[in-house]
Amino acid sequence: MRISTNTVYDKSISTLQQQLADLLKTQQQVATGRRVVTPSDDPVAAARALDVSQAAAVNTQYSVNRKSAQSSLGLEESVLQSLTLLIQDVRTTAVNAGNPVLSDSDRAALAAELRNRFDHLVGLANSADGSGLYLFSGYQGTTRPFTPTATGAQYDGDQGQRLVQIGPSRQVAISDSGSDIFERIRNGNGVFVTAANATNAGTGVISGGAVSDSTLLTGHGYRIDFSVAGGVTTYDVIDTTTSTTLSTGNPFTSGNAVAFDGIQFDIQGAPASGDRFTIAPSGNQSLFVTLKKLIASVEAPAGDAAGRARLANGVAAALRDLDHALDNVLRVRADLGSRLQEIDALESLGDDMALQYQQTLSQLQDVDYSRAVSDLTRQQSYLEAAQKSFLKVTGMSLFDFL
Amino acid sequence: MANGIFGVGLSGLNAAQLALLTAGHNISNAATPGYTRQQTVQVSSIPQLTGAGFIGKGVQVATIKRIYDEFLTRQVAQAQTQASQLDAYYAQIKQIDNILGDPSSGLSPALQGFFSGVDDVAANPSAVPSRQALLSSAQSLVSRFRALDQRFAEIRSGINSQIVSSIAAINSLAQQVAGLNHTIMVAESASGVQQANDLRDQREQLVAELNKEVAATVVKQGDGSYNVFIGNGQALVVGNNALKLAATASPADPSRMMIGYASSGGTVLVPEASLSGGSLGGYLAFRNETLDAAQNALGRIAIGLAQTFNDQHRLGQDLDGALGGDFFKVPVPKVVANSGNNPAHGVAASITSVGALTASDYSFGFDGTNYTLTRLADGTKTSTATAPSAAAPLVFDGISVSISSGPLAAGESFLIQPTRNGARDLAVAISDTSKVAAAAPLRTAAALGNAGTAQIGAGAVNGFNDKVVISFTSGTAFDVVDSTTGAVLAKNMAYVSGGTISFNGWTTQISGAPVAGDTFSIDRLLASTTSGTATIANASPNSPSPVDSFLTNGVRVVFDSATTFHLEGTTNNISGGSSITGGTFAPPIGTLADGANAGITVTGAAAAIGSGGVGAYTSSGVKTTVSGGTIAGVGSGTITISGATLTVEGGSYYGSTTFKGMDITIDEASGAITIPAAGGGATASTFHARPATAIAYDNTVSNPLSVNGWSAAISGNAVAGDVFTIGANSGGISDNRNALLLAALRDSKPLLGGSATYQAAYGQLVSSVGNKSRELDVTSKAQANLVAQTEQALQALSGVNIDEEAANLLRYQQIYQAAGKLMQIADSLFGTVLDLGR
Repeated sequence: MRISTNTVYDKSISTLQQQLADLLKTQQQVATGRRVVTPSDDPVAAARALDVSQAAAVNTQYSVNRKSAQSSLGLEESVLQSLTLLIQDVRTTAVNAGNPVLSDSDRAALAAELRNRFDHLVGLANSADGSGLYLFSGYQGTTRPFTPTATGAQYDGDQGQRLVQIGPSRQVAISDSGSDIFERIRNGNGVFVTAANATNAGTGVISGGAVSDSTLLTGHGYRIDFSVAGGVTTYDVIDTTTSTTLSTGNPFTSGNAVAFDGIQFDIQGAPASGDRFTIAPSGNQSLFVTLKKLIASVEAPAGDAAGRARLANGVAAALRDLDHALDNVLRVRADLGSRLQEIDALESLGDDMALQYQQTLSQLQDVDYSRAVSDLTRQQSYLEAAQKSFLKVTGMSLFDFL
Repeated sequence: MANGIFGVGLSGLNAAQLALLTAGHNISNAATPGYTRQQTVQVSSIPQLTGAGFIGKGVQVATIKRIYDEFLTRQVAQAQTQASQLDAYYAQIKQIDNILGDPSSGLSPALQGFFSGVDDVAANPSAVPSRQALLSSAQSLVSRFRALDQRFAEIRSGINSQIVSSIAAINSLAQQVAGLNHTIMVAESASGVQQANDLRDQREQLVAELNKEVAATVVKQGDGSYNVFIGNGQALVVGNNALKLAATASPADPSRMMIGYASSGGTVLVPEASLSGGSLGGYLAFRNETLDAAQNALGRIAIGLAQTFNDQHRLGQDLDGALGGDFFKVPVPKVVANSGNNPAHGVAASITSVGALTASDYSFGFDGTNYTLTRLADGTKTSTATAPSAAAPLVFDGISVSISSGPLAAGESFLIQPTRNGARDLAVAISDTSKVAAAAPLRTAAALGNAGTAQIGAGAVNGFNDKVVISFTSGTAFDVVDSTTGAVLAKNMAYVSGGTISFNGWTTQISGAPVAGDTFSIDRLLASTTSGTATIANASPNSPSPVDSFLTNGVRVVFDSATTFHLEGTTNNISGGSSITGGTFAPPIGTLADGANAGITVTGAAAAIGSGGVGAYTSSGVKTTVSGGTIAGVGSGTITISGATLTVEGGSYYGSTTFKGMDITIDEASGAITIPAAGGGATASTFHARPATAIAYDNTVSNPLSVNGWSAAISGNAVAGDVFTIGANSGGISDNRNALLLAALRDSKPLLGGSATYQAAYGQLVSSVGNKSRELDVTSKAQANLVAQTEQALQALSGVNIDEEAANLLRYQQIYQAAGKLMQIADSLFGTVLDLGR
């Protein structure tokens, strides 16, 4: 085949260009550390890398969210821990106050202590986070959740819970409403509440009672009216909801069980004629109300037997309600703990995922250095060979011999 | 004899000299582009007949011919025009490829940053720094969109100027070819049969260069001149004349340079599709296939993001307690009137569904009979014979087109680019951090006194994204079901043709005569029907917010028993004419005028409570009786009630009430009328209006309640008397529910017909440009190889080889020397003869 001089040059130059381009590309890969420098290098990997890097960024964001959830929950947990201690303290004080040997002035001192506890409780319930937002006011961060009133405290927050996205399909609550922690507490024994009338003159102390047969429960209110005639104490049971008398003239023995409509309790002591005890369906009673009631019971004079009975009834009711309050706080704390645990679990999962994404990304777009460097060396030697041979080929001319 | 020898020697001398000249010419032009080597064609002279036979009379040069092959030359030109097109295309697409995929300058990091900002607000909804960070990241997302679009726009204007310079080059080349046609004709006719080799080479080179600009075909004429055609046989050079091309703005889109023939009457456009090959073909193909689609696709992401984000943002509540507004300014479609249109005529285009948008442009035109909307990418058309109006627009591919001023004349057309300016026009609509709607506008609560264990969900705002199905149970009544939550929004609604139907934050009308079994559905405001006899209009969102303003008054869910409940208003602010449509509030509570907390005053003889057939007020005499749903006999036409609690239930009264100014007799025989025991103080009465119908409750499932744009679910065991409230979220600055929903948009798939996230849509753009770019990379390399091969074949034939010429020089030098020697011999022979006489 005939070769023109132009062909010799053109062909060599285009080969040199091609090799130089290949070399440059490999060099670029080595320099950037990326195999896919532009999407056209590997369109599939490039699009996939975008997806994966987005997933990795989202994963990182979830991790940030988890940290924030952890700090919010940690703050709440520490407040609830104080609250637990406070309730336990109050409980101890209540038990002390129930000691019949204490004088009125002794109890006044205890009542003062309880008032301090009440203020402390309001303070805890109105705790704020680092940015001054109240922890327990639901959605209304700037609304002070609890305002003390004569009989307890008024809740001005709402029942909203703030959620944080801690995983692709998991949102976790990072707050609990004050209503849930401080107000939604069953009183009495959870089904009904026993109480002695404030004007009782006898020494009857009513127990918290229990459900003897849940199928017979009516949810009605009742009252027990006592009468003492000729040294014999009897009582009537009246359903106050339907205003019907269930039984009359039942003989009373201190400490014996009184049972009707599936509920059962006992009254100890000696009720006077006209004394009255009430049984009401259990409702929610806020911790503030419980504390205020306890304070009132402790502060009331208890010099005589009737007074001591009132004190005993009041303290017993308060202890029951305090136990429910404590249970409720522990319930919330258990819930909190499980949330924190889940966050921890997701955190370690998230770390694994991050590593996974990193590896996938690396596989998709990172250069294999050993291979790239070997390619670079190979291409370099090819280029050098081409350059040398070009010089040799073009250096040959018949004119050299003319 | 010697004379003959002289002659023969001289002819050899001359021939060798010419051959040497030619070899020298070849050597000199070895590197001249388009040069084909030349050869002398020698023939021996006509011999002289003698008795001894024919005696040779030496040599003569018949011609100097160029070693030329027309077929190979055309092949090179063809390969070259393809290669130029691919190179030009590749050079342009490479620019887009580089910016889209760059991990730092592409859209992806900005998109991720933006959603991180949303997440930050979700984590700290009331923190001003987080809100500011969101606004800033939104701003930087917008700037990234704009920067990418700006780059596209630069490339576009670069294409325009490339087209202009390419046209100038084509015109100049055409002019030169025409000039050479003339010169060659003159030169060759002067010489008779000889060809003007170098001139022909020059012309061939011009044609080759023309092919680099645009594909050109050559038709050789009998007189040796070339006629050159481009595209689908558009003449460029005819004989000695070159036609002039011109770059001109498209009449449909002034920002687009098109190509036409310059003539005295203006420019006659050449269809772009007919111009292929060469760099011009490459530019045009790049603009049509890649640039338009890429810029539109980017705009589509911008519009999709802005629209869907806004939709959710508007369902939220900002720090000031107001409902969310637009977060982004949503770009609107660009409409360009054809320059031939009546300037007074106009067309309006808007986007109805971001999911249905394509990356194509559209043309809307009127041919005298039909109004046609054409998707330019593939020519798909939709047309109507009635002029599309704002009320009844032409809807296609998620855009809605209507004539804003007309009527259009036949032949008028408009170019509609729904997404072209999407990325350019995107903007952040809010700058005040408190306007970020992170909270949901409603909250739910369970009353503390609830004895049951039922719980209510946090509640959500539906907006108009939930699909709602209206099914007719008869020709006059219909039920409404929210198909996302499954909640029955209304049952047995009375049908009025053309009457307003409003649910979940939108309003529509059904007209005509529907029959039982007909269904109508509203999905993202788009209406469809199975009815053959009735029609439904597309829904429009309720202004200013999808959420019913009644929500500010709140709704109570009151359980009558473990299995039924009622919905009630929570306050007594049921003002005259206020009505709750939808849900179980139907039929609406009628004309109850508010008398503030002191009481409620019902004025007017025909004032109606529950206008749906129960409890209409009528006046007949001195006594007012509630009897079977009717209060009759208000002498003065006024009933004033003040007292504690009053519940109006479809004509029945519940309440501990002191009635003033009138005796009210309650007919207990008509049933369900109760007056509870007196309770509460004399102050602050609360009036709850409620419909007569109770709603069934199932404690084994989650019971979605969905009324007027919000929904909440109740589950668990409820007992009679349990109350749940759904009310305004006033002061809810720490609420992040809407921010969570906004953040969830990152993983939602609103684009490309509901199949792609924002990121996926961008990934698709990157991958389609990357694939095309890679394809071009490969094909342009292959084409370059083809060019090299054909050129090599041509060079093998026509190219100069210096060594060959060196050999020729030696050969002809020797011939020359030999011929000279011959003459010397002839001279000496002649001398011998002369010496004879001495």
